[in-house]
Amino acid sequence: MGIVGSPWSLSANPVYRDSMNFSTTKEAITYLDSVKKLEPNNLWPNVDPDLFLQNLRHFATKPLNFYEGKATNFCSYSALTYIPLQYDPLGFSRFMVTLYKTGKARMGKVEFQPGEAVRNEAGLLRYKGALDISPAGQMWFLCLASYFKGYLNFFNRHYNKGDENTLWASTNFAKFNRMLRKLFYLKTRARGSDLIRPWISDEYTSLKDKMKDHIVFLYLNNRLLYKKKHIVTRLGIPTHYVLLMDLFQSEDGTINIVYWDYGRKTLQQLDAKFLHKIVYGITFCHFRKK
Amino acid sequence: MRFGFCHMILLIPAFWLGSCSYSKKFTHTYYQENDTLFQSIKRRYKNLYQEHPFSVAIKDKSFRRIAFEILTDSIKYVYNFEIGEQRLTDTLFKYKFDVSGINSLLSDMQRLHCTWITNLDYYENGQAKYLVFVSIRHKKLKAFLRSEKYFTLAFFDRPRNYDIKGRLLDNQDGKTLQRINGGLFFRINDRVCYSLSANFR
Repeated sequence: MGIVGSPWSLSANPVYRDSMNFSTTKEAITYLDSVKKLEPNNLWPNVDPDLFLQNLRHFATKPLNFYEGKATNFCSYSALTYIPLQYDPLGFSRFMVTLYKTGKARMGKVEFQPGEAVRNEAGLLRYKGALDISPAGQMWFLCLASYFKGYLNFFNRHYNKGDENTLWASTNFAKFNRMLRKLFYLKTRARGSDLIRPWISDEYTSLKDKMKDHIVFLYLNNRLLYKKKHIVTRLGIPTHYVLLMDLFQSEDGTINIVYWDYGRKTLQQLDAKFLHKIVYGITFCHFRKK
Repeated sequence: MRFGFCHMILLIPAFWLGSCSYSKKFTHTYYQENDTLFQSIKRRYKNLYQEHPFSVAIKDKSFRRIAFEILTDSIKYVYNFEIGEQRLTDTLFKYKFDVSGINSLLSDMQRLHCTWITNLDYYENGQAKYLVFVSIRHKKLKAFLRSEKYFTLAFFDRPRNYDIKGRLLDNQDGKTLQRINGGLFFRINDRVCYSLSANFR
């Protein structure tokens, strides 16, 4: 498992292609400059408008710093946010400003109109790291979690304080794929499920192949990838969504996986068996022709 | 027969209560016994972190296998090593770490049964602040019929406020209980507090 001579460049973002852009960072910043100032809005009583605009600028200029917060169940929402932030920053900024001003806004096939509980909570989430100072991020996550429901949300469908850490915010694999299809102009395909791993004999080759012309998301057993306990559990379930950014093999056959979550890229070295063990779902998508 | 059954009924809760009592004793004594070493680890970690941000997790029972996380602005590298192996030294050299400083830190982490050390950010009045977060895995924290707990410590740079029950308070309003990694923390002294957690990070 050598590290010297890693072919992965720090600045590279192999997933991203300019040609697929619907808008640019510059257009987003010009739009946000044109908004100038937002007045406090009773619809979002705890969202500071200046900080909100500052957040949107930050999202547009540094999309990979977008942060889902500590100890929340927002990882799926954060992973899919890569798409609007990277490919349509102007569209995302417009959507967020409309949502702030009117309390409702449309993205893809979805008309968001969050309820009072969610609107009142946006801006109040605390002890989540950098998400504490990102009311725009809180608004977006809470809106997504309150709109999209899967079977994991069956027993907790209405937001109560603290629900960002509970099943209210969690996402099963079908819900994740449904969100992608409804929110973005994407052709999406998925393999895998919540309990059974996909039948793929060679994940490395398969993923590498998919990455050539697709954006790839992975649904992972994070208890193995990012251990938080020392006990060995036999029951493996996936709990975490990441965007796959790169995959390459070292000379000794070790697989280097580069994924994006928690506001930064992570490079981790795994063997093929371990990769097979942790991958429960693969979603690959590409934009429909403009 | 009936007498034996009554004994069983009494013994089971007594045994269960006994199995719960490990934590209080441990949390009161372990930090005090190792105060100097904890403070030294915290100080050295902070100095090393300032030169080059990193976190370390110890991943096995024998405290030999580590996950070394090297943090840059845009990417986190996670590498797995055995303490003392050449690859670890090579990597530390490559990333321009203070090799002897890191090795000495790892050795003290082993001595204290420390499984995780990191610099955690938290926010007060919109400003980022940092604390050193350390987790301890100890056999005294295991008990029959109880899931394993980790003794986690938070080291602050400035004195903190606590409520009457010794729970860490948020500096921003002085009333709300502050959570770190989702858990409540209790006073050891004005700058150090602890929690018993199911996760080490």
